[in-house]
Amino acid sequence: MIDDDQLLLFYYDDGLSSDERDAIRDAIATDTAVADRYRALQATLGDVGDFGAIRAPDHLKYQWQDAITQAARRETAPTSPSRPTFLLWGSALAASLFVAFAIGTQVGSLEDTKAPTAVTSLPSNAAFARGLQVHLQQASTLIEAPTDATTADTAALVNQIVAQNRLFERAAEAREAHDVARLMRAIEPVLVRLADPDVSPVEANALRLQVAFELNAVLTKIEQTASEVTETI
Amino acid sequence: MTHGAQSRGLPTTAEFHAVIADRSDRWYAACLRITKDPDLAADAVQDGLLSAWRKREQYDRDASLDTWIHRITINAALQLLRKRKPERWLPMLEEQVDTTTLPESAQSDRELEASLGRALSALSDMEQLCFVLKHLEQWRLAEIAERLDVNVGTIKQALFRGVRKLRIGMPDLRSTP
Repeated sequence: MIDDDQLLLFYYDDGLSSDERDAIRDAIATDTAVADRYRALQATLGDVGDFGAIRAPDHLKYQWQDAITQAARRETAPTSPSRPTFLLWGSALAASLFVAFAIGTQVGSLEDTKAPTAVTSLPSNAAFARGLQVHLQQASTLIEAPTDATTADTAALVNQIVAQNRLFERAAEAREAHDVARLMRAIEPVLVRLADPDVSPVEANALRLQVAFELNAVLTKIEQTASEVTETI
Repeated sequence: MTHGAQSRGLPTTAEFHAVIADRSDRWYAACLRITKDPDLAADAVQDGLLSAWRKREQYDRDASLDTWIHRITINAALQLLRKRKPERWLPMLEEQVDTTTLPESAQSDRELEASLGRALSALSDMEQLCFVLKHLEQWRLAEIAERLDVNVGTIKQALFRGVRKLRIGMPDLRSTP
């Protein structure tokens, strides 16, 4: 007796031996009842073949295209042997970030043992939160500050910030702070557009404002949450 | 790089941009059906795209770029679901069906219900996932089992149950305008 589960596997042409397939094929050809059940199954599955259109929002498509553009650009970005003075800001940023993170890790590991936070959307590790704050504050300052840096300098600086954003994004993911990770990812396309040599001064200013706004939004959220946690404690 | 990639037969940024414009609705829809979370689906598509870009040397020009990326984004969706939603992933694999709707997914569930149809929403998470991967994505049972890290028998049983539920729900579905 051939049951509907076997007919289903026959329909998908998967999960049956060749002997089983042959037996089912013969049964469909010779047994009206089996043939009727198979047609009914085909009709059901045909009806559920299309659940209607789901469209990706346009801003996501732009973001995905931009992610590819930037991935391609990063592969070809020349590594300059010289380090313009302007880039010292970037180095300072990286260094201070490392120090903040290292110190924070020591302090944070102690704090975490006595004050586990109930906030699930932000990092559970205080060191991570402090390191992220330092990064965002310094990145905001650098992005907002008017500069006479060359396009290459700006691109190098942005690349450094992007690289650090990614470190924090990964760290956020590891701490299951997915909304923070998502915000870090959302900032990246704007940052890389800012580094684009084709960007006009007007657009660059608009992008700077946008990045600063996004960075400050994350920063504010972190500070608010830190305050809430403190009050809870 | 773009020019060099083209000369080696690798897909270019322009090709990626074009296929994103034309086909990313399908990738997003597939990832949304798997994750049932718009943010997770968006991240899965981006992760999949960047992964495809990084390993574009492996792309076979005889195949469709759309299909190749689609497959990678589905894998990314499964990875993200496992990593970020273990509360859904683990019970799903153990067939402990929890019908409680998590607050954070309530809205997306409602949107999904409207777009995926009432029939599919009657299935458990595991049944839905197996049905989506088998029926819509046309994966082999063995591939699904390997990806979900369970045996083929488990996948078959989930699929059988899912289709039975769908068939029970179909008369009602057909009467829905």
